Amino acid sequence: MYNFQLSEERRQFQEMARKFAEKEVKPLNDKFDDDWETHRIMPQVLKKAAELGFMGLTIDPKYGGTGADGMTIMAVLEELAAVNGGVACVIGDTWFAQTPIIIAANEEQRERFLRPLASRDEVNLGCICMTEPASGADIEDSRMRLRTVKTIIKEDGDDYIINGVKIWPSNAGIASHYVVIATTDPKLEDKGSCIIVVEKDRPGLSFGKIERKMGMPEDQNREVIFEDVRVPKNNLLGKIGDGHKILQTTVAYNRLGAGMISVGMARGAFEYALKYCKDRVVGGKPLIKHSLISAMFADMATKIDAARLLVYRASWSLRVRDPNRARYSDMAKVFPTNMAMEVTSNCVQVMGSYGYSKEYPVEKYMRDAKIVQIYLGPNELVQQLIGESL
Amino acid sequence: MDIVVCIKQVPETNDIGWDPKTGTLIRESTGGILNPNDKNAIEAALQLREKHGGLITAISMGPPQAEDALREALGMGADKAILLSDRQFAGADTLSTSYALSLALKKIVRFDLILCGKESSDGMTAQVGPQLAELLNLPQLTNATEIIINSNSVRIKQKLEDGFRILKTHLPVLITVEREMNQPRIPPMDSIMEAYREKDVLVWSVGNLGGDKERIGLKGSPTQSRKVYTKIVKKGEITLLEGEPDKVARELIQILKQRDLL
Repeated sequence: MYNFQLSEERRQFQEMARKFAEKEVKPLNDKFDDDWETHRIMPQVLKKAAELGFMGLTIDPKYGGTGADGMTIMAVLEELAAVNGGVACVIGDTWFAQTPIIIAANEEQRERFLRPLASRDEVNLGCICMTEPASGADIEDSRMRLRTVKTIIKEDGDDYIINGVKIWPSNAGIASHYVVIATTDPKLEDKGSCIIVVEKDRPGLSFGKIERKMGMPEDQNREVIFEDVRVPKNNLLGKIGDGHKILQTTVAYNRLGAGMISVGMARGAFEYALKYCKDRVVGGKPLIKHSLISAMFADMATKIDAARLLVYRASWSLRVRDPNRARYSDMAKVFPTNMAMEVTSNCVQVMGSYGYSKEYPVEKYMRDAKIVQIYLGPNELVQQLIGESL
Repeated sequence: MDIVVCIKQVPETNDIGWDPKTGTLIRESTGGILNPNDKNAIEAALQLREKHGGLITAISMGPPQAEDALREALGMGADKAILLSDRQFAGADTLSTSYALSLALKKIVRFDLILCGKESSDGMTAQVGPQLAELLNLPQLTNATEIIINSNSVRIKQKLEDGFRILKTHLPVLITVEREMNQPRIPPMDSIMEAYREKDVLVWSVGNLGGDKERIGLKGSPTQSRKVYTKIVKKGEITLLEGEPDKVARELIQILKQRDLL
């Protein structure tokens, strides 16, 4: 039914992403934790990533991007995450923010927004602003039809004026384009919903403190505050009332990305722990020769593969517009993210105290893996959506 | 300045099979990658093109799947790619490979510089570059760690076992490149896409090349492997000498003398 073999072209993209991650990211891996607030290291990494065309991977060559297909994007994401999940997240989240523009923008908007976002000369990140202080998972819950959104846009001549607060968006404060889920009136539910692009230099746009987190220090999360931010009407994607629909499609295209980041992180931890257990001798033989440890690795290898296949299936289903594509994408979020938490935790376990030590890389994979169960719809919500779709 | 870079697809892992009859590698059974040392040659060509302009042609001989190595070269930035592929090339040793490449180079006609990696990671003979230079009657500069081209003159820094020396000649020339010459670039995304969607790999058969058929493939290969085997390495015991360096050194000399190793 499906052919998941990577074509030679995709393999080249995968190889390129692996080289980038090994050469430009891996040597910095133990420095990101101390840089969570100063954020001095990521700009260097992102500059190199932009030069190589990572930012425009999902964007049509017509607007200066590469226009890679879903399977290629997933293969690239896995390689980045296998070295550093946070870096994969930052780049993945800029693709996430590009999605509503790719889906719903008109020709003029695509030229105006996508071309700078695909730039190789400067780093232009996207930031999708969804979650609000009083509305977390509700915004990601299709059944709520955006009725809890409190970020309001009001018409004023040729402009819209935006007021509201978004919390937790990735790339906040460093992004060039903010893609904002808003409403004209929450009571109108999806009929008042909209998505509007706000450029970084608009007066009234400001940011809260940088959040200190358990993992993924590479990814900068801050409040994004809109105080009478005036943007021209032609920054609106589609029309008023389209927001809910655009967001649902955007989420379907990106939940599997969270799944693939999890596959990459699990693989990164797994490969390190496996090598360790082949070398480390306990009780007169390498750890891997102990049957309980060997069984753990067999289980981990199987689950990583299963998760990857779920992601590829979801990617395929989106390409062919399979009627079950939203469910497949949800499945490709829940299983891989839970799997990554389990696998990275087991990798710490099999390495004993060394696994727990910051001198070794696996504890970071474990800390990073936790958030992916939470963002882009907490797994419990997404599971509920899967259940209801059956 | 037009540059031809000779590249080879090599097996991806050490887990490769042998044909017991011919003693040659079974390349079809393994995944192939672009020979790592050839990436240095491509990188050198790209850097020279940045300074002096011109076209870069990547050329390879191998089975149809060797096209992948050429696509990778195109992704890195080569302008054109030619694959010499024909069943009659099968079983070629380094001499026969060099001969086929020399015919292709004569067909290309216009080039100022030929670059090769010093050696492939599978055969490791380092013979194809020098043999190709001989067949084309070109000067050859081997084991280069630096190339400087000024008008018609070429200067390289050659790596020797115990140091370096500077060699000078004129274009056209064949240069083999050491791995430490440069750090091959990571190809940008759009360039990879272009390599697969917009650029062609020309395929030349024996018929396209002409030449002496007796010098092609297994027939034209004087190197015949009598036996192929995996060397069994016997692992000995490890003795760790501990203590003051002077004392340990004396002890080591004593042990080596006892075993007739010194």
